[in-house]
Amino acid sequence: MAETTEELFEKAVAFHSRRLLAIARAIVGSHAAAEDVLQQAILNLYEHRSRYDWREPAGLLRRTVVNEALRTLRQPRMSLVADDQPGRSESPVGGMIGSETIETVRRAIDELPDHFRAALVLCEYEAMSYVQIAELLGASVPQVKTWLHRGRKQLADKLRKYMDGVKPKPTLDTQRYPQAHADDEDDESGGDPS
Amino acid sequence: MISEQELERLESYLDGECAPEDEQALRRRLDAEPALAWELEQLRADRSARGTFFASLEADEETSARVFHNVRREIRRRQTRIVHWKRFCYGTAAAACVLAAFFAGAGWMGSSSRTGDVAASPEFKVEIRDERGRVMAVQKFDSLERAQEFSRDLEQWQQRQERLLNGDVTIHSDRF
Repeated sequence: MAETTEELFEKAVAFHSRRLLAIARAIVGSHAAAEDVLQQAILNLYEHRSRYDWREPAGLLRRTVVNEALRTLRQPRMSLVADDQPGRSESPVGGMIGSETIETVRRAIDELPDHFRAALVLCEYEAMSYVQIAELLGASVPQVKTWLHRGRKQLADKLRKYMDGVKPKPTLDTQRYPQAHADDEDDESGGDPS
Repeated sequence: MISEQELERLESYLDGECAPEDEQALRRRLDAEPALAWELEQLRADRSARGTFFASLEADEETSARVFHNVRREIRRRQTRIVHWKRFCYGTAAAACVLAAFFAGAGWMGSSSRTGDVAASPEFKVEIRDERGRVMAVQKFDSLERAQEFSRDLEQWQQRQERLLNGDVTIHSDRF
């Protein structure tokens, strides 16, 4: 028996919700509740479900979530909302890269301008082309390229600062260089050690 | 030090957005220029870190189920509201039938009152019934014209409600 629109709709939502929530989280960051964004996007689609073909809904769902996320960000922000992103230690891929680094990447991405962030997640997570991203975000292809380039540059600068911060400071081997050690003490006390 | 333009070119290459001839030229340069190859590896490493981060944002089963449950609950709530509206509309649909039936009786009553009973004033009423025939409301009028006007207004209101339920219009105000 052919599936009804409601059945196809439910199937589509159930199948895609994990990825859609990742998109919502990536775009709104800590500026809005990603689950609320996703729920609203799905409800918006439900209202007009009979207009769409639910056998291939991936593009439609993604577009709706992105638009809802950006619309939410355009609203006046009262304060940062509680972070509903997954716990750092719960990440299934945490073994591949430290959870602290993930947290640093998250903070850095959160600080990007909204459209930089949206372009980045659509390009690298959803593997969309520049043309598709431009259409979805209502921009030109050169603009998308600029957003991507600047976003990546900003992230690289932040991460590099972080990596420089966690690298251990080089220390002198005082047994090998005792004189250098005495010189250090001289500097600290301000007097002549001899 | 690599230029911004070169960096963008490498990024387009990693994004799969290079034209075929540009990609070939870039590959030749990557083979010949270690510094350029090193920059590409840096970009790849940064991209890998971001990819890991994005993957970490995917919902777990519990979160996914919760979102799905909330959506279904809201959809059921809205469907219940629509059922309540429809029940009321079925009631108003019956009103026209009640009024028409009454008009037939009213004509006879009217003629009786004109010819015989001067003291009794004719009464016209419109009964609104639900789909089971139960009377939901009664509106009385002292003239047939007023009863007819009410019936017409009710019919127009009913048509608007049907258009609303069918999604043909969007409410901007609750005033008609």
